[in-house]
Amino acid sequence: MVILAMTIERMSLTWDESGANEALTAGLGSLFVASLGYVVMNNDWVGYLVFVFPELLLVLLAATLLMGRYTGYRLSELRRFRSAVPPGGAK
Amino acid sequence: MSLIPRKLRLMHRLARRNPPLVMPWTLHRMGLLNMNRRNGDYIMKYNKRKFYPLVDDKLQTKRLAIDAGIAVPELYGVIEIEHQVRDLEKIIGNHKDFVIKPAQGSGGNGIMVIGGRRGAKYIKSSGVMVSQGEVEHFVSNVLSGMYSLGGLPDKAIIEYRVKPHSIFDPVSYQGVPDIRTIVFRGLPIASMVRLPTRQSDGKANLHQGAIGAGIDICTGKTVDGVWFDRVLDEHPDTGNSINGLEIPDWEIQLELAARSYDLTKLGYLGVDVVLDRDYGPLILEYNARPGLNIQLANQAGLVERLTAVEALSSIPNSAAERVALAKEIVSKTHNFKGQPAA
Repeated sequence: MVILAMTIERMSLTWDESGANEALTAGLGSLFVASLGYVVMNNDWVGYLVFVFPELLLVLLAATLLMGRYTGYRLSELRRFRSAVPPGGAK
Repeated sequence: MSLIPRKLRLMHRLARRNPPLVMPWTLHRMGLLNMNRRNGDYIMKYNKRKFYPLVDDKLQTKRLAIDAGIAVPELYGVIEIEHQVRDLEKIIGNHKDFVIKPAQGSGGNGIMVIGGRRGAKYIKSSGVMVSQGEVEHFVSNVLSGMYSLGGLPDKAIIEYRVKPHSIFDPVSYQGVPDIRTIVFRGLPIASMVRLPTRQSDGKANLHQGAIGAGIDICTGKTVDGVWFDRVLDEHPDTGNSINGLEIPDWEIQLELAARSYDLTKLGYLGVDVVLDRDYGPLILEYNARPGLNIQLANQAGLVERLTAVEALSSIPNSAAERVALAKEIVSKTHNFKGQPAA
């Protein structure tokens, strides 16, 4: 309930400040991620592992930290920087 | 009518366009700094969090700069709380033109530029007339945090309106061009001038449609520019060449940029300078998370320069020595084509 209320507030703010387009994109994105979460959480295997070995969450935490330290190119940057490549390719 | 069949011509055109994605190793070879690496290897490592408020709040930046004897646009007054909005007229006094902006604004939003007065009305730089009430309403919006980082309540700064140096007249459409320099460990390693266009509505922010033209650190001359994704050598509105402009007071500006490191203690810093017709180079603001587009404007990556500076075991104390060192380092680096950058 609380999360839903916050989402609604955030979305109405985005709608006012950056327009309907931005708000709908963000809204649909959140919906997609939430659905993914639902699918994962309903998996019997995941449920079993997390309930029996709650310390597995620490592994998840470690994975998140590791991902946060990724310093390589983002997928979106491969698109963003395509104009940087000089005609005829880089050296 | 061409002899080549239509279908073939279409394929030819498609083949000539840039591919939808660049391979990461291509970007790596070009030495292009990316967002995650900038954040992880440079900003987190060299910019201490406790110094952020100094640069995020333009009022603190201004006071810091004045104390150090660095020139900034003159502060006319500050409005901190709603109650003080009634003092606006007193702050403005006899100034015919001025700028109102949020102390913690981001991305060039929430800046009102007044270029003159007619009777009781103010004339914005765009030519639109606004009444005293409208200006006060705008100030209230600024105080509410409408344009500020994180939407938190903010202060409104009323200051001198910069009159751009005439060298930029042929290559800017309204607005004031500003010069952005990346200073790493006190060495100015890359620079560009941001030229306003019709599309950017006189603003000097690249994502709003301003042109970024690279500046050669060693000579102070501009190279080609980028506009959105395109590399170009003339201004889209005025048609004048943006290539080979000699930036006035270049040495002074480099030293200003280098000195900014002593002031802010931020190892990875973006310095924004405007060139005023009467007062010369003025520090407009600092940025603790300067963008990556400066690489596109210069057609040269930052990684090579950053690694070279990082390899230095010690950094000279004097700003002048750091400028000389930066020039030496930059002159040994390469652009995207693999040619010497300077």
